[in-house]
Amino acid sequence: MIEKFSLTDKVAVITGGGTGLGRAMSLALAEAGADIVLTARRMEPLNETAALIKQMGRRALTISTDITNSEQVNGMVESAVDAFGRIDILINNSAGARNVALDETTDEDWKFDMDVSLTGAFYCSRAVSSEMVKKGGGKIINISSMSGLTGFPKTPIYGIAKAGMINMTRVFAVALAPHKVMVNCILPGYFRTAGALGENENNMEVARKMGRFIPVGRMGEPAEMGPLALLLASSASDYITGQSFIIDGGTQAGRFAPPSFVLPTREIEQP
Amino acid sequence: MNFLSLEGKKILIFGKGRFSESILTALQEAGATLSHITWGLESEQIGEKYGIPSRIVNPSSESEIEGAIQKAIAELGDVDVLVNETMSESYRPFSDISLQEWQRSMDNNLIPPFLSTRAVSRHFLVKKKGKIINLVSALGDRGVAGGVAFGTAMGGLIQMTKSLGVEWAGEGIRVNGIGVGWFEGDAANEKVTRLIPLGRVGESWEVGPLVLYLALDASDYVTGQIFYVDGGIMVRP
Repeated sequence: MIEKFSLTDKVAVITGGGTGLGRAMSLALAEAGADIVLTARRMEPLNETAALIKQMGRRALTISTDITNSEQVNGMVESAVDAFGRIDILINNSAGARNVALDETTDEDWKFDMDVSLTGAFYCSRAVSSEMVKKGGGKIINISSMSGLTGFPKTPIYGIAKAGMINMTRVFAVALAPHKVMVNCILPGYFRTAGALGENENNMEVARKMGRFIPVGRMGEPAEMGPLALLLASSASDYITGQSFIIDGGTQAGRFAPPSFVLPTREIEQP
Repeated sequence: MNFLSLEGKKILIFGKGRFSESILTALQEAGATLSHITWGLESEQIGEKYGIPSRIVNPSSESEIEGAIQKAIAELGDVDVLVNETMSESYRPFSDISLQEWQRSMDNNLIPPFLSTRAVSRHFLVKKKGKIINLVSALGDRGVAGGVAFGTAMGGLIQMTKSLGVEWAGEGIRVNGIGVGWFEGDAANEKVTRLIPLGRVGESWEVGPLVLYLALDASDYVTGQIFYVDGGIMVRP
């Protein structure tokens, strides 16, 4: 059964694979045997991740792509297939979230968050899935967010885009099921990344303070995304599709009271 | 793939059902030390096949369950994970269900995991670490005619999973569930199978990888969740 988790001879494309959760997932998939295509706009972080992957003895390819441009996405997919022959796994991890109050958002803010967080994932899914269908199957993993289930007001458009991604997962899952392409979604809660903490990414004191608002008492570490991504990228999950997996330290289950709150004891009614 | 290792972990598998072998195989392959407590007839066979202790208890006896769990933990030397496979299916149109059958469905499905979880939690709460994995049915979230009694009980177990996940989040204990869709051995006919996007029912082994994942330290940031394995039927149009 363990061998079902192996990704030997598989090729994975990961958007935003240079930093944070994207890097952690890339490394986990490489550890399981996959060759990795990393894509984003900025090349520097991609190259750093690629070097780590090569150290593990896997192949890595970096491609600078603006995923909000479908021609560039199609070109990226073509280059990946040219280089490695196939794509078995796609992780849509790129996202953009502008901190702006709802009543101050501009049309351009809307377009930016939607393009980067949703449209780009759609373009990538469309282009890669057609390759997967040709090759007889594959796995797509969309990285949404807790913001896609809640009314987080600081990044309002991002939350709307991430909710779209949850249903995009279901639509692709049903459409691609006959072709043995499974499509699932991960909803991370608060993780210690630049996305959540900005320049305080490595400030453990700030992370500890944030942890007080999370039931398990801490933020997630990026490496904790790896095994869940591997489960969904491998044959170990061949009967799972269209689902959303929440990894959030209990935040969603506990979204009814603060983490330390305990209901006062009340005796059961006697007949 | 070192992060898939359960080397050194002591795991208690409690209950009976079609997924026992899938669970035991996955956990044993990952290197865990196992102990089995059941009320199933195949106890001896499982004990022999996996080379593990398999105890028989009366599923409604508080003292037997607590005693067996204490013995199993003493033998293992510790306990890191409890897996509850305690689903007890019964189907009948709602208006034909007797009070006795209704009560039995609630008792069969909710008393065993209550007792096993409470007994093991005493150890987990002391060491401030532990994992509980409950097998539940997607019928706890979706309705199917004839399935009200079982579905209601499963809804209860799903909510027990979520509530306990929160109650023990600060105690280092993680509580999650695996929600199963249509699997081999179920009553799914051709009409049902046609509705499953992946076009087939699940094979029992396909539950194992999820149990393995939720037993790992690597899933410590997951709690209060149900992970479904259902071939896509819950998202079908």
